[in-house]
Amino acid sequence: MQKGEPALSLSGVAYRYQLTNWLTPWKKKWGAGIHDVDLMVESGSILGLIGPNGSGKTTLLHTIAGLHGRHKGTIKFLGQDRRKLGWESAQNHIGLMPERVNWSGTTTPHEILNRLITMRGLHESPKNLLKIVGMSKRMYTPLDNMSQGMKQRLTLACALLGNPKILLLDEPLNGLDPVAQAAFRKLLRDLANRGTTVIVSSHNLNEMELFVDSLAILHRGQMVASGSISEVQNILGCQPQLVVAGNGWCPPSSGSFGRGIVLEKCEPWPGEEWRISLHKNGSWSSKQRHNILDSIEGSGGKICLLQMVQPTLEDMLSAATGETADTIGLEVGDDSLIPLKKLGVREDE
Amino acid sequence: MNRFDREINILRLSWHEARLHFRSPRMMALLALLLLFIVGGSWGLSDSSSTVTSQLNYDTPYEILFLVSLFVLFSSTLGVVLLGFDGISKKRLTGELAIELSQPINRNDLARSQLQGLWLAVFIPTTISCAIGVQLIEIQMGKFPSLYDWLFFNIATGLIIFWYACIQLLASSIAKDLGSSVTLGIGIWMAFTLVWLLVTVLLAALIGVDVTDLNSPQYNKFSEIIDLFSPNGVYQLLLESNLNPDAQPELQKYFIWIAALLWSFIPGTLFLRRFRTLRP
Repeated sequence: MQKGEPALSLSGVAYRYQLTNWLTPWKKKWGAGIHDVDLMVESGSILGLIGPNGSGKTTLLHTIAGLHGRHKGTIKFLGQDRRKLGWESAQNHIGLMPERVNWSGTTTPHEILNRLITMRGLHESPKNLLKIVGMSKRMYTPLDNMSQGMKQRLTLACALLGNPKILLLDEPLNGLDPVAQAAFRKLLRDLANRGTTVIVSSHNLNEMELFVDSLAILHRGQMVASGSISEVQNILGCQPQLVVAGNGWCPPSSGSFGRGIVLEKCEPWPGEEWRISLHKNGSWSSKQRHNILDSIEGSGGKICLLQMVQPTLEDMLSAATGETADTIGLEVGDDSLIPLKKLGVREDE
Repeated sequence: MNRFDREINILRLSWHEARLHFRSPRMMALLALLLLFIVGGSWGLSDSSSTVTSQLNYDTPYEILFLVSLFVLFSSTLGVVLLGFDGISKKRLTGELAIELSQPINRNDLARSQLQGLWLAVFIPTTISCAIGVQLIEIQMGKFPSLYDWLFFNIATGLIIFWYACIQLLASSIAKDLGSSVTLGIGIWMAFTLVWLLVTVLLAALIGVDVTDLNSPQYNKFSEIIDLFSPNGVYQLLLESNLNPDAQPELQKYFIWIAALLWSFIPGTLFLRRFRTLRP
């Protein structure tokens, strides 16, 4: 498989949890899930899967990993329908790292990996895998004596078993110290360079920005936007902002700097007297930037800082969900699917 | 992977699973139970000076083994509960189940390896305890049970451990948290081990069988039928069917063996079916 070819493609994938009550088992209610997800991930790329709590990230990863038996839609691995591939062949392509596996007991990482190696019918050595994740010196440490970071590394080692073509990582950076996070990013990049396709779900948006090639944003079970970072920025209308700071004359909030340029914020700033953020659709030309400088300096202002600021993943997530930290607070959305694209889908469908 | 390789793989996985159980602290509790009940029981019951309040004359080593089976019923089945009550639910809670279910292995094979692993983890120490018990019986009585009797006893014991392993893992796969795992695991064991006599008496009274005399032939026949619905009852009936003709149950042997087959088939199939649709 050449780099850049689709390693994984999802078309109309839907899965909803069935809620049952012990007292009324005949009454079946549909719970949260994912709805009509389309996604294409190129071979050898790292896709960041982001979304608020309860948006369906883990459900999507589990569906791809085949943990939810029946789902709607088509999942293709390396161009082949997973249903036609057969269970074992399909699973051979997949390495899953679930979120925060709380390994416990008196057994050791060596024993755990040995068991999984037997399950896969492989002849690998656990030592090599543990070396990759930096655990070779803790091979025989009982699980109960391991820190969360070590457990996280062991979970990653489990996902790397059998050299899978598609790696699904659910919150992999949890519990890792900063040095380990950097090493982890490097490891993922190395794997991607060798042709492994990586899908990473994480809440750590700042970390994600450092290593993903493309993005997919989920909200209430729906895929809101996906593609390269610039494509997602365009879809969501998140464009780079021009930040200007200075002293002396301050541009009025209603000030105009040219066609389509909107002054978003004008605020006092420590060290300088003011700081403004300018926003426009499309890219900034150098002429536009010069015009703004001239306009401010011509009015008696003195520029101290002129900087292009790219939208962060947080900005994109806010744009996708229509929610910001200020508006949503700590509130988690309810578990009903609110189809963003397909209005009219009934709850019991 | 062909069928033979798959079976070998299942056996290897079962052994892995059993080894995990052998190393667990709970195994210490199980070994203590087995030594206390099976080994101690064999020594005490085969002592010619001891008297047991039973109508059974226990003159042969097999009859001693039959009495020891009461201790097996108590300790080995409790051992299955100890090791298996959270066999699936704990893995689900810790997240290990998601890793196992995402491996390229047939779910039936994985379920069988869990089942066989738990079975081996209890059956091996039980058999060793029984073997020590038989040595003690020989010391006390001067003779061993015949090879047939010894094999018959072990097959029946293996079966009841298998039935409990199926039931425990099925219950554990249904339980969503540790509390329900404990409740289901212990609850099922108590129902069959401690409460079954009460259920039998209650049912007998309801359908008009005289329950004032628990040794009456009418009640005995009724309780044998009800015992077919309990793994402990079937185990006892199986062992009784190998006693001398006076002490054998009134039920036909094939009824007992059919019940034994059904107890092997139904919980086992239910567990495999449940495992196939299991979600992490």
